[in-house]
Amino acid sequence: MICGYAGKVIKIDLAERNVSEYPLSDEDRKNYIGGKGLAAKIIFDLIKGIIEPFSKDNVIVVSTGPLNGVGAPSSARFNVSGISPLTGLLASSNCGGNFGLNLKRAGYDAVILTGRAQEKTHLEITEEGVAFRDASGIWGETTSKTQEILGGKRGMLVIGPAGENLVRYAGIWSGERTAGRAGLGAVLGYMNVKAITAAGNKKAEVYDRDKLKIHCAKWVKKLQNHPMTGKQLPDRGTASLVLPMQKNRQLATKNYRYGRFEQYENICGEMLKDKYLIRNSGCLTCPIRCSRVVPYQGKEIKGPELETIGLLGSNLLNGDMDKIIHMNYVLDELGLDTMTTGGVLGFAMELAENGLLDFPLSFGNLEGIDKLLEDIAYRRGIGDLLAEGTRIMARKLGGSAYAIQVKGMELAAYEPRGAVGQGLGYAVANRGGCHLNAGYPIILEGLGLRMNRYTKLSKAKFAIFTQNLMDAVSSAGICLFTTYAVFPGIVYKRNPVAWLTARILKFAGPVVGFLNRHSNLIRINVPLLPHSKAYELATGLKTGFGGFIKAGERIYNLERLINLRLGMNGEMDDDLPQRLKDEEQVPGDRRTKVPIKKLKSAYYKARGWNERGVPGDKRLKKLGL
Amino acid sequence: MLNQYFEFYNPVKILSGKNALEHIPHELLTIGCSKPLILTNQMLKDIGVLKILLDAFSGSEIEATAVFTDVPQDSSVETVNKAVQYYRETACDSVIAIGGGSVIDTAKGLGIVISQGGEDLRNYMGAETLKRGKKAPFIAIPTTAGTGSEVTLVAVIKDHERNLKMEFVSYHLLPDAAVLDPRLTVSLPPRITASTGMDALTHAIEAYTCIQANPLSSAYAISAMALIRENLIPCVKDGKNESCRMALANASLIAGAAFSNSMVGLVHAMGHALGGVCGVPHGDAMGILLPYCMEYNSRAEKELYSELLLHIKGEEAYTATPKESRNEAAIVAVRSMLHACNSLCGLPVKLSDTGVKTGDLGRVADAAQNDGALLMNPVEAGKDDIIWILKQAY
Amino acid sequence: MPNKPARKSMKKFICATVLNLLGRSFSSLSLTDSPIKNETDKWADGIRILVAACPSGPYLSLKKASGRVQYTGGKYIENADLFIEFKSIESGVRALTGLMSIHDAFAQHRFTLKGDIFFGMSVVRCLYIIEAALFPWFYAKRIIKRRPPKVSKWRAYTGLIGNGKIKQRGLKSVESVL
Repeated sequence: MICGYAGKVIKIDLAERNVSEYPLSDEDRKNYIGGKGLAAKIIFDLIKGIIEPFSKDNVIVVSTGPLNGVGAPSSARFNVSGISPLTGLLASSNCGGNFGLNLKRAGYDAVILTGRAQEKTHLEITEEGVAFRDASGIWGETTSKTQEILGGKRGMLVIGPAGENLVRYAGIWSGERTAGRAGLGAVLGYMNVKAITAAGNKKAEVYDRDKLKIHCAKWVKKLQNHPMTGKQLPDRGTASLVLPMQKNRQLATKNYRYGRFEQYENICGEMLKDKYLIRNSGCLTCPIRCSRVVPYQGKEIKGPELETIGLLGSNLLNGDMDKIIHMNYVLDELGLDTMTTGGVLGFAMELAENGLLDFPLSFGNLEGIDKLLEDIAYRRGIGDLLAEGTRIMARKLGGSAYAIQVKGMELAAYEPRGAVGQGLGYAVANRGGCHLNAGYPIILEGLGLRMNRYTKLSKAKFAIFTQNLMDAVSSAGICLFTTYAVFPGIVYKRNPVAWLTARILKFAGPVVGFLNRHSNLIRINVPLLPHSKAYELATGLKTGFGGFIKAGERIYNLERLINLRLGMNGEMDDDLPQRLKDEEQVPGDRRTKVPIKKLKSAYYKARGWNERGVPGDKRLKKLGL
Repeated sequence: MLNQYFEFYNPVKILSGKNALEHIPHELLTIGCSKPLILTNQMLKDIGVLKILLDAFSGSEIEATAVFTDVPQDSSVETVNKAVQYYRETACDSVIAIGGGSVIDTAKGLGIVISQGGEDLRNYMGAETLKRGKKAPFIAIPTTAGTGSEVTLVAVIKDHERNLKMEFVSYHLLPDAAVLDPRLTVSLPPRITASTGMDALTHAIEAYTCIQANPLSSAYAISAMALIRENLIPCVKDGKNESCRMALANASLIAGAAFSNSMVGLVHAMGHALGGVCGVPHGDAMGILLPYCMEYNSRAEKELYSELLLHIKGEEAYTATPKESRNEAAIVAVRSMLHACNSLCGLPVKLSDTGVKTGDLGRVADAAQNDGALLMNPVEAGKDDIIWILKQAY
Repeated sequence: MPNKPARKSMKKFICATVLNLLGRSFSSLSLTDSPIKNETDKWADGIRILVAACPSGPYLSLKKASGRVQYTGGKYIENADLFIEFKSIESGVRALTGLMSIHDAFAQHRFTLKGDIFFGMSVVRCLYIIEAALFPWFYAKRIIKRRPPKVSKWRAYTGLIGNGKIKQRGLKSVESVL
């Protein structure tokens, strides 16, 4: 058994109430690291073709990484994967709550749920095994109430009423953190699983605990000294990105019709800090502490993140932070993904504007929003239609040109016509309109570094690099925000070095492309990426920087293969809605639409995929797939 | 369109309306026939449809004694050969087929063997290879309102021995006359009415958009669409409404004439495959797949269906819809029609409701690829595209 | 412009040349890992195909044998399992020289097809792919709806060398049978 891992993976047959050990080899751990990588491998082996997400053929895999619980910074992240009812494709949803660490302490690297329980179930996982508890007493409760009733210091994963009612974008909550995207909460709801708890005291063996401790201490210092992870995020949270997004026309406004919002100052991070912030907070083990704590109805609750602020704020022409905080709270309680909800509401408002839908709300007017959100969670009245997501809504009513979704999943708050690399990333991301699975190229396009936002040059290759990197980091169990520090702090500020770097990076495509294809040549660890060294010290596996990134590439391609098996089609699915690719964000400025065809073609080529987006045999062989 | 070569042929005389069956004796006598072989199936005999036809001959000089009822649900070589033998034994001089697509296809198969003077239908597979020969006069009387086979030049007949589906395409398969009588469709259950109605709508839409569409076939197609628009839902709601029934029967015939001359495309290629691999009823498959295939085609041809909005939804909706949204609005209108049928009579809207398993989709895609209809589609579709559509429709 | 006998002869000559090229390319591509091979692998061994540019020829005959499609020459063969015959030399030359796609030719009733239509579709698909491979893309894209699965132009053209003899690694050399 490789160090760093708990050692066991179990498969739970919910219908038969049977628990068995799932054979996962060291080779698999080595190749896929953990988290979403392991989950992808498991799903690849278990699901061989197209399945209906709300069926007994679907699985849920909750998995941890080798860097969970070994003292690394920002290492509480765990992963939930399954086939999404929103997209019909593989979805992996990352979460920072306490469940992952507790699952590992209980002695498990991953838990696989299959089939459908006959009764409402709460799975209680401990070192002794898995107990099937009756969940009829908590069925129907909100996410916070459910966790309160379950009680104790154990790790929890729960769904809210939205998951119980199979709303296609219902999420899963762990504490106040969420595996929100892609509707995996609805899959748990279908499986009749209301909650999963985990507790234990086991500790994974670490290969070189002393060296790892020293390395992590240096890593923490690095994060604390970095302008992004040490200053901006702790100080003003993810909401701090509103100002630069506004400046760069990257803030989704009025259902992505525009990239700037007039009332941006009312919803930015600075304003949130000045008027609302009680203190910042973070996941267990995290020095970044990007989360906000704000007051609400006499309580202290989790404040809204950037995505929530953008999609329930500027996207709906809502400049009222109180309303955003309120909606964030309500959606958390109901167990609904705030991002998709924002996308759905924006779309519904525009449909109503065009006379295609009889809808109570309009842009800037959220009177009666509470009832509507409840109606969505309980699939009542018009809520039943909205619970399906924008793709299905567009099929029934029209307006597909401005149904802002990719592969069925709504986009994040970054308006891609202000950052074409991000647009590419959205289009090709394995799980649909996800900014992170996209590789988050926008960090290079004005939110961190300042590459030309409209150029196609090098964007494909950078997107590939960041996608591979982020898949590796995420699989190890580390928060993706730590990757901000991959780029030195100096290039985030305004100075000649940053200016020059941004200009040079535009032409760095060939170098990055070479790195992508031959990353395994770099067998040493590099200071820019402490993750790979931490991984080596925790596991004893000598991967170096190159091997670590290569694992990320392998995971990304494996997810792609799973999706192709599930019926995904590069031509049809790797695309953007018409508004983003054919309409100019700034009328008359031809740069302000995403040239997705050319970007995609360059991306496929650089990935070693054919013109239909299918990975070539040669490339797969090199990755060992 | 007009600088491109096309062919259009529709010689079928249409007798449509109340008591149309009673004009058949006159038609036969006009062409010098007096002893027709009547082809039908046992079910139609049992429910009294055959009697309605036989009663129409009473008092005439027509000797309607040769009746062949042994036609199964899917036409087969064995059935055709038996019918040929019976035709010759009873010295018939013409054929009347009363029934659905299978009965009419059997009659067409019989017509091939008789006209070519041969013995085995298998020798005549192909497209446009048949000579006219000694064509037996043929009258088709459809008892459903969907397939349009009473005016098409295609017959599909199964060879059970070789487990093969044989396709015959020839202008000489067209009947001399087609008879639409409201008595024959008035008792169709709502579910079948909806299913066959969607089949007819698919014929019309595909005929309008496939690569052999020409001004004549398009005129037929839009005429059919308008009739379906006005009459499908009312007919599903109230099957006894004779006017609606006749309208749908005519729509089906007109749509059949359209697609006979311009062919069908992706929806039919996939629908045939679903029928062959998974046994999904043809009309059900058409209804489910039509909006998804329209969406697929629209990605490459953005305004393919824009004009059709006028015929599918009406003038008011057409003028109220901005030009750039008409294509999508047409697809939405088709989908609404389908969902309305679903609410009224349970017509399926998803493949998962028809018993298709996800494991079958690969085989369905393989079968669809081999269907000639796929070549006629305005947009190319490979196996992965077909799987994508099936998945969306699942 | 009147269709004088000399013009018709020229058209027949062009068709004969193209059919020859098509036959050899077909043969070559059916050997190598390509979309053509994927199609032809499903064909029954011994099956014979005849294509006529017009009722009086020129012809292309193919045969599936030993796991590959063999180009068996430009003469008429009796009792072919599949016989595609263009109705006139004008139709034949338009379809074979890429002035019209094979799909459009089918849609416009330019040829008759004797035999199993489903099998015929497989042959038509192969002809479509080979046309895209033989003609330069700027020419082919006028008639091809979407670029078909890529086949090696080199493979398509090597079939033209040496009277149809192609030596493949591990395979016997194939002689074109006239």
